[in-house]
Amino acid sequence: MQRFIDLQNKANKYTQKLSKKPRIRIGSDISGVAAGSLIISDEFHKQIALNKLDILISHVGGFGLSYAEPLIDIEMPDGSRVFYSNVQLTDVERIVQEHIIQCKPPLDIAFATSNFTSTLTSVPDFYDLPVNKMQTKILTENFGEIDPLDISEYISLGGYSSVAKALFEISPEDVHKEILDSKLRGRGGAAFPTGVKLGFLKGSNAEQKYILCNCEEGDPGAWNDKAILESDPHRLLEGLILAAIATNASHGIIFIRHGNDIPISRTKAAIQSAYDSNLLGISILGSEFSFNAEVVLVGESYVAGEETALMEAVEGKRAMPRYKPPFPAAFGVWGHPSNINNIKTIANLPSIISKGSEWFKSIGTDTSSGTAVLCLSGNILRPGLYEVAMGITIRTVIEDICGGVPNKKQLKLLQTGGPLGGVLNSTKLDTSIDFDSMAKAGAILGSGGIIVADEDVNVVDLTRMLIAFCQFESCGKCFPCRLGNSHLLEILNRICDNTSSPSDIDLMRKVGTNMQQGSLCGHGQLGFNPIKSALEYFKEDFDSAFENINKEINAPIQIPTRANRY
Amino acid sequence: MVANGHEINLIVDGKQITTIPGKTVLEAALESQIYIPYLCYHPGMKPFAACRMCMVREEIEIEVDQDGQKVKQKVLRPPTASCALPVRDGMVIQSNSNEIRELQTDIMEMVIAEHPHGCLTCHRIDLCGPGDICLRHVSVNDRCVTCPKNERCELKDTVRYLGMDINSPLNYQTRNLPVENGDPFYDRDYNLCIVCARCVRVCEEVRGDSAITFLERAGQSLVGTSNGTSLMQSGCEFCGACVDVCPVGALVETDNKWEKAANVEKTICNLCPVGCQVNLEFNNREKMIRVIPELNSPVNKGQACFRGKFGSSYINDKKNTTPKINNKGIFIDKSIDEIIHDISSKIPSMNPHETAVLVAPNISNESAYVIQKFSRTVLKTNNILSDTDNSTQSVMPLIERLGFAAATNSMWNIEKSDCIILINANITEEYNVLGLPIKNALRNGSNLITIDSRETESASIATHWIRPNPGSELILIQSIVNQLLRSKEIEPNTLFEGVNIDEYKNIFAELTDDNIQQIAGVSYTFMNDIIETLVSANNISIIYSSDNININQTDQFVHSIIDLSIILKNVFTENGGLFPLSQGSNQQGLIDMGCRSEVLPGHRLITNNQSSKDITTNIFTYNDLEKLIYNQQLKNLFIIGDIESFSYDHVVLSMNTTTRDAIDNIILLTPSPNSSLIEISDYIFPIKLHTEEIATYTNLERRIQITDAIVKTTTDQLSTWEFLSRIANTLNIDGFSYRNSSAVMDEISSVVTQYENISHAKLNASAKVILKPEDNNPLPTQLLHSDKVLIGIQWKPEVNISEFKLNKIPDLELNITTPDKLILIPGRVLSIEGTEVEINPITNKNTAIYEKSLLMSPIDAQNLSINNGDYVNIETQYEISTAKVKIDPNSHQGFVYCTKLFAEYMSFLENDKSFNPMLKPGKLNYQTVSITKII
Repeated sequence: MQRFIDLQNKANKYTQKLSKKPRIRIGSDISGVAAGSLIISDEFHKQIALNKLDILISHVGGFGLSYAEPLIDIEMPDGSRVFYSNVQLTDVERIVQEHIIQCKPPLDIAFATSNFTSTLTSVPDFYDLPVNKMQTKILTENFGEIDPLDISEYISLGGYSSVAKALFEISPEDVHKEILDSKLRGRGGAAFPTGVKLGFLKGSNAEQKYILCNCEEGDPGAWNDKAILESDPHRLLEGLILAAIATNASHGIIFIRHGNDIPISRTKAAIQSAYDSNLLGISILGSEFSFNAEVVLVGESYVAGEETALMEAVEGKRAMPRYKPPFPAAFGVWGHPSNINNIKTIANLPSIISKGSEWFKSIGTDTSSGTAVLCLSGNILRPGLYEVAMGITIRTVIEDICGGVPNKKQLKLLQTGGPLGGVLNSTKLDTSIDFDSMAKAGAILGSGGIIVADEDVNVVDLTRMLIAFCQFESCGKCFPCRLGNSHLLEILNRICDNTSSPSDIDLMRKVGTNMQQGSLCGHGQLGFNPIKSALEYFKEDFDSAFENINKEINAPIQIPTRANRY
Repeated sequence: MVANGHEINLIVDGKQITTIPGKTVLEAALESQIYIPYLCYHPGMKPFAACRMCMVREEIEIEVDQDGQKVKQKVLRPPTASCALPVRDGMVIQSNSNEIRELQTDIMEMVIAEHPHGCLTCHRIDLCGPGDICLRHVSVNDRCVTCPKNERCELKDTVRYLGMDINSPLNYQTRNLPVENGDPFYDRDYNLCIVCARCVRVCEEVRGDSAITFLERAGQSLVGTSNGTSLMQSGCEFCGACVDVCPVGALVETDNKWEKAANVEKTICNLCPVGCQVNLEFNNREKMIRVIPELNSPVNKGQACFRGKFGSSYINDKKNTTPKINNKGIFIDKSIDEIIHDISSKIPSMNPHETAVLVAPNISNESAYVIQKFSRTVLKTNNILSDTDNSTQSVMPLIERLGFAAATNSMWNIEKSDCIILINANITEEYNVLGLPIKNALRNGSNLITIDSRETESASIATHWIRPNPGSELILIQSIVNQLLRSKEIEPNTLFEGVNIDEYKNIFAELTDDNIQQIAGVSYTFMNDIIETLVSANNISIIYSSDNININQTDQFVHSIIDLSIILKNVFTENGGLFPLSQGSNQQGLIDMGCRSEVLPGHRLITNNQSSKDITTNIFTYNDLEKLIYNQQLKNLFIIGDIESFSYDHVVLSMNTTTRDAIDNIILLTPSPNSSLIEISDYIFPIKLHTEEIATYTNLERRIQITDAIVKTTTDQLSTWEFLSRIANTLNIDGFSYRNSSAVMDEISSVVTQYENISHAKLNASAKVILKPEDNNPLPTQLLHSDKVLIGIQWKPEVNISEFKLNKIPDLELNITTPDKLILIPGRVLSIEGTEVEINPITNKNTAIYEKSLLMSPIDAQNLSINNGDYVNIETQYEISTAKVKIDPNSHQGFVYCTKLFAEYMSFLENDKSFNPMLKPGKLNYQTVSITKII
């Protein structure tokens, strides 16, 4: 325990030293980088060097406000912060000159402020913005605030204290019990109670046991897994260590899809600094508990996110799901007992252990405790990543947080939980965001991605794109999924080509039912969902497609299927 | 079916069946003759659960609340694949409901929407006969009748079983890929592939090769080679396992591709000592068209190799051969009686000291027994020789040391060994199926220590490859023995009683670490690593052959291996053992039968037996034969079997006119119609092949297996035992009046203690009937061939532990001779990086193109003024090849090393037109070469 207190003291001293300098935080998560924050950062460096200023520039993750990127905030030693959104290259010089050198922030281009004493009311307080105020931040509390590569900042904000608590104050039994009591459910899609799942691994007496953390995240329109790795990787590591303590696991593996360079490099750096601080490795913090963690990259395969396919991928094989039983708890990676959890599940554990299961249960609904990290995109005013308490309605999120559909268009369709989740229409807007209500509405919360489409979107075409994704991402192992998806896409291609007939609807249903019943893993079993839900809510789009049969149209882009091989 | 004291009862489709734990529902159902359709499952492989055809629903009871009361209710669980569903006691399974059928038909509709199936939709399907020509009903590419697998296609069987009405609205698309037919032995037509991955799995899981793999994904996923586009690049060992498991026509043997089997017969492969059980398919003209390894065989477990699978067509090539005599170059056909009369008349004048009998090591037990009896009682000579090199000498010392000359354990026990020592044996090429338990053990984390100067496939997959300087193998093994004795972990008192360890250590005092490093070229640290591995292992198997061991050292070499085995104490363990390897499919039987000069039937060494005073009792070796021939002292020579296949440079083959003319009578008994020995023989008699007689063979694990006469022969052919017996009878010598081969076996069982109680009837009884499909129950094609399981009988080695002692006088030979010329150490591996493939414009076959590298010591390179990277010609007795020189400081002076590609050897064998090319072991022997620099 003493070693942890030392760590904390060291971290506090370090961050106090930092706060004595002006600090520029530049959002550099994927949406920030995409919006050009690295170029902005270069410009800041240039300006600061030019003016010979002593200023700290931190590449923080991001607040999740994708619509505002590049979002930078400047914190002065007095604690005042001014946020600038959609920063242009040309703005940089002015910001440096006026804000830092002259100490007169150019509030006309400011996005929001915080701790700002000026009486000017035209600029709102950052944390009072509807996008922030309506969020309940657990996983994302450090997002945008800390340098993800700096373990000291994380520790000074209370990080890793729950690891110390789990190691020295309470028993592994208590850790597990706390997780069990919190009623935390898996955030990967299946919503299985996490405590129960960890219990399976805990029951095994094997020497080598694996805790696997799934950050494969292949759903289009979801980036919350990657966001955690980009903005706060230590939270994941802390959760991973807690899960390992609860189950007495010996190894941790974090899977990230290759090519996601920012999450990969930040996670690797976080692991290295955790090793350096003896938060990983042999005898963690001087205790008797040892645990190793590593990052494993998986190839570009959506199905690699399926737990058993992931294990195959880790073993260097083609990412194809295994049959069950044997279940991973008995026969996982390399045949060792394994437990696989989504990153969002694991990242919830530090708060649960430090604040207790009662606190956690107080957030969310009875059956779905905690928060949902949502990724909103599509035809909405404020796309971004928002963490809300379970139980809030989709309407609140879309209208209040995201500002609704722009250009006075009507909301037509919602696509939730990744391509396999299917679509909903506007009548489902009042569905509460929790596992059970979403399932009841015929959708899944899944990865937490919500794509909004307005009235201009043709559902047949959208469905075709979703099925094209499912088809392309099928691993090719089990026959119903491999063949069924191809046939579904062929039929949808026909419909879009105006060369189909209404009987194709029945054919799709037949193929879809077969996939649902026959497939080996969720990919095939859920693969018909996009069409099924589209047919349920937007039958008229299909009907109108049939009205144009054999009419010349602008040929849609051809999506290759079975026969177009190479 | 009771195992481990408990059995499991379950109900499948209302029928109660019994099975054992560990089975899957599909296996249990199939065993009980309940057919559940499947495509990706295959016996002997792990389930894959991909085709989803074997879907079943399990009926379970759950408690539900009904009006406040808990009521038990039966519900069906969602459909699940029965191939991956483990059996539980009391399970209730539904496999034939309408819902399941619909699921299966729907999947099948999608499968055949990308598989040519035109004939299945044709209204004439039942009218279309094998000779009919289809004019306009089905387009050529879509026909089933033009598919090589027609009528043995599991897909078609399943479609028919499901009673499908094939008019699916799904879009039918074929892949339009070219057929891959450039590789040796088998063709790949991926237009027919259903991506069940049986081939990929058998290659990885059973064969450990992973030469074929999945390509692409989703709807485009297909099977292909794991490296390059040709099997020659991907490390294929051409075992044909993938062909055997393919349910459709995607993978088929190139030879007799379109032939239909009219008849299937079981036999034993006669091409190597493993003795795989195979099923031979014959067409309606009684031509053997295909070899399918027996799935239920305890020997090969459904596997074969390039020899057995693709090299058995010689069975067809032996027709219309008659007995002949050679009258000064003119061959005159004779009847059996005439030739027997002619030979018999010569025998009384034969001097036993001037007579020799050469036996090919693939002759049957019955014939071998009669051969030795014939030479000892009729010819009165002990000059019986079954070696063509030193290979059997590597077995004989075991009699002295163990009491018997044979492997101590069964070959599949190797699978459970945690350490395997493999010495100078080329497993992949000469004992291929024996490699499977080795590779399985390796995959389970066992260590494989390969000791071989040649880079063989076994060396390249080894965890520890010791590459001793050629000729230093004996010293290397002795020093391992020495180091083990010195290592603290081996407590002297745990060794066998009566062994003086100190005495032993003294003998080895000369062997210091330094001179081992110098002589054997094995570093001290590596040696330590090996010793550590050996000391920490529990079950050690030692497999050895005496390839390239100096004939004068062979005896010592084997004695040292036995010493090693004593110290490692691996012969009395269940999962260890000592496995001597020799040439020929029945060398073991020949030793058991006493078909060698130094041993009488039943492993009785002739020096211990003084009763046979009236015959020559000297030990007769290959060297003696050579001496007799060169000194022109040999007058009568009996050659029995296809001995030329076992040696390229046998003394008999290389006789000149003078030495040949010095021999009065050469009597040749051969199955080969075009043997080169016919030219030099006086009497030529065609003997039966193993497929033509009822006979027994003993494999390398002492398993006696019986073959049946499944191929008809002309009346002019006899078995060897029959022929020799008739000569003896003509000479009125007693003891040769055998009614049939069964009577010979009866005599063997009374003379050879190991074969006690063994009879043909008993061997036949060990074959039991298993599943045979009925007309109304179309069980899968694969099982069609398994109408019997032939177990065979292993004779039990009885080891006298007290006699099993360390070798008393190890004869150290520290100086290995450095030869004057360069000696080529050949090697052959399954894949070489950078191999490219070119299509030969004449044969349309693939040719492997790769750069051979020649390892050479710096001194030799200097002598020949060759620099690193120079190209040189390597000239052997038979061929010239080009290689790039790599100067290797670890190479021993006087030796050069060159590793070639296995697939190249396969192409060579495929084009070899001799009688039985696959019988030739293709030994990787050291050769004298001359190296010339290409300028």
